[in-house]
Amino acid sequence: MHVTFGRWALRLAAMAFLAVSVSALAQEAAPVPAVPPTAANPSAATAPAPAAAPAAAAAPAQPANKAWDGGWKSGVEEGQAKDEVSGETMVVAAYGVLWLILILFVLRAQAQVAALRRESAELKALVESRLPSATAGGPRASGTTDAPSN
Amino acid sequence: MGKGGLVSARIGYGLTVVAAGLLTAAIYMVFFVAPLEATLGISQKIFYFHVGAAINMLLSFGFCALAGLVYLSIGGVNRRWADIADAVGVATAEVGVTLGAIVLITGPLWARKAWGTWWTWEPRLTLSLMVFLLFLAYLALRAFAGSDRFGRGVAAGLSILGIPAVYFIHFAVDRWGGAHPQVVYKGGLTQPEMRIAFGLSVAAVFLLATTLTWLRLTIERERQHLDELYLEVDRRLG
Amino acid sequence: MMDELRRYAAIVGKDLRVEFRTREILYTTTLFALLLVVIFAFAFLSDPTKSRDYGPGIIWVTVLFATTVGQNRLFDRERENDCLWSLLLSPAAPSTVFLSKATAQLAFALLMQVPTILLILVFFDLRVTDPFAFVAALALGNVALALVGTLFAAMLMNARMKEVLLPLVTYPLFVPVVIAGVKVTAVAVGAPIAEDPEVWLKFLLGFDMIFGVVTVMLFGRMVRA
Repeated sequence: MHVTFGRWALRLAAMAFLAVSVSALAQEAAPVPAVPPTAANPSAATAPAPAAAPAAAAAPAQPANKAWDGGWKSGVEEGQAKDEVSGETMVVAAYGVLWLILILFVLRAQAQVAALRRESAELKALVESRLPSATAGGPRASGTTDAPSN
Repeated sequence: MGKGGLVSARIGYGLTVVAAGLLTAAIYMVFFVAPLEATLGISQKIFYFHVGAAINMLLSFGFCALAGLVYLSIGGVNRRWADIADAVGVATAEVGVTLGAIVLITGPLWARKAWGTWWTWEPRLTLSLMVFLLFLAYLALRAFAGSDRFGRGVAAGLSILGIPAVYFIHFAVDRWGGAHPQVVYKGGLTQPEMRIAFGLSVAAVFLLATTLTWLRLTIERERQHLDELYLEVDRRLG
Repeated sequence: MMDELRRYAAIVGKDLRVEFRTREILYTTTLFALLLVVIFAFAFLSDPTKSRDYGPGIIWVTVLFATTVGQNRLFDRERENDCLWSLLLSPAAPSTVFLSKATAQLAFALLMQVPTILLILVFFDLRVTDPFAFVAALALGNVALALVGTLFAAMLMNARMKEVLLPLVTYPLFVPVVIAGVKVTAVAVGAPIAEDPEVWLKFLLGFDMIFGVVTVMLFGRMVRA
């Protein structure tokens, strides 16, 4: 069957997910600096190379937005109740759920493809058992059950 | 049939690659380029894909209704178009339910930080809930009212009725909490990087939804062909 | 045109006559609605002074549930005797068949609701300050429920799980009707909310007109599928 590009989708999705979560975890591990880091000095312990370069590039680009100072806990401003539930938990949960739901969809699709394959094999066996003389029973049946599967 | 298989496989691979690329680009933009929003901080990042999923869920609904329309009009005459329309309807409905689940889970997660409570009957989230329920009703019909021509016709009718229903629901839900429409959160997309990230994430979810719809569509078409084959075999071999 | 009207009247008359012979749908749905009111009274009447807040909601939930029960039974006789196909094969246009069944359903629903709503007004101590709005909301709302409900009741007539599928499919479509109905009814019983009943009544009227056209068109198509 030709519908197995789902596997490629899964692989790409898993790679993207891994990349994001690794960099997110690495950012978490970095200590929140007391003073906002200058342009030349992003937190040394931040994420692997691909994430560090854009972080350094992004930090000096918004001097007016004081939120990006390497730490993520500065989001809750005065006037809002300090929640025990942190923003990071929500973000991780949200994106995690998003990926989970997508992966479940693809897994379900794979299960459906497996069921289709199984049923067409059954049909082929049924036809061949009924008409052992002819080759796979008939032009229409053979034309479809012998479709290229990849 | 073989030729059609190759064509749809190529389309499938192409869609997957583009979707994966856009998705990676969008995630990158959201997390590493777009700045943190002033009041909400990191949890505002949920917003990008939450709204992307919501917009595309509504788009899926539109396509599902269009498929229903084709099914009941052209499909009454042309059997092949009926099958295609029905397959598109099922595929868009399933992808719509998937996107709806994403919207309805990420929404409360975002609202918990933004407004301090899990669910506030905010008009747009409520509308998403209703569209989700309409999708579920469509799938329930396809599952339990039979997948013969009659059952498919009922489901198609529901998807068509859903369009004016969504319009009326939107109007009513907007004014439900008070006389004037109240949209509390405009998005807070103050910086241009935020807007780019937002646009990119909407486009990424669109490609993702299209890819998943294509996947489900091809599976459904295979299922239809297989069912026809079974009938044909039954007919000829008794 | 006159022929269609005559056929319409004939089918409606037939349905009403058949129903009045045994009155089974009327009695059972009305009893169900009255029992529902009693349950709601026990469930909600903790603070009688606030009855204007939830009274309108209870009216509409009762209307909704009892109407669904009635709609599930609407095509029972047709199904048992394969009558729907005979009706469709008759010279009557499919839209006539549909509208006549919807009218019959509307009549049954309204008859069922008269004692029910009176009971609600009594139990929950509601005073109707604006009778026109009160009746208009219920009339327009019931037309909407009848149109959409009859369409799907007919389609699901032979389905395996039709008792559950019918509300599953129709309730999301009924949500705007319930919202509008509750708003107008609340104003009509004097609840202190700042709503303009005219806006919502026009909303219900628009709903009825648009869904009237769409359901009639769909019935013909869906039956032919």
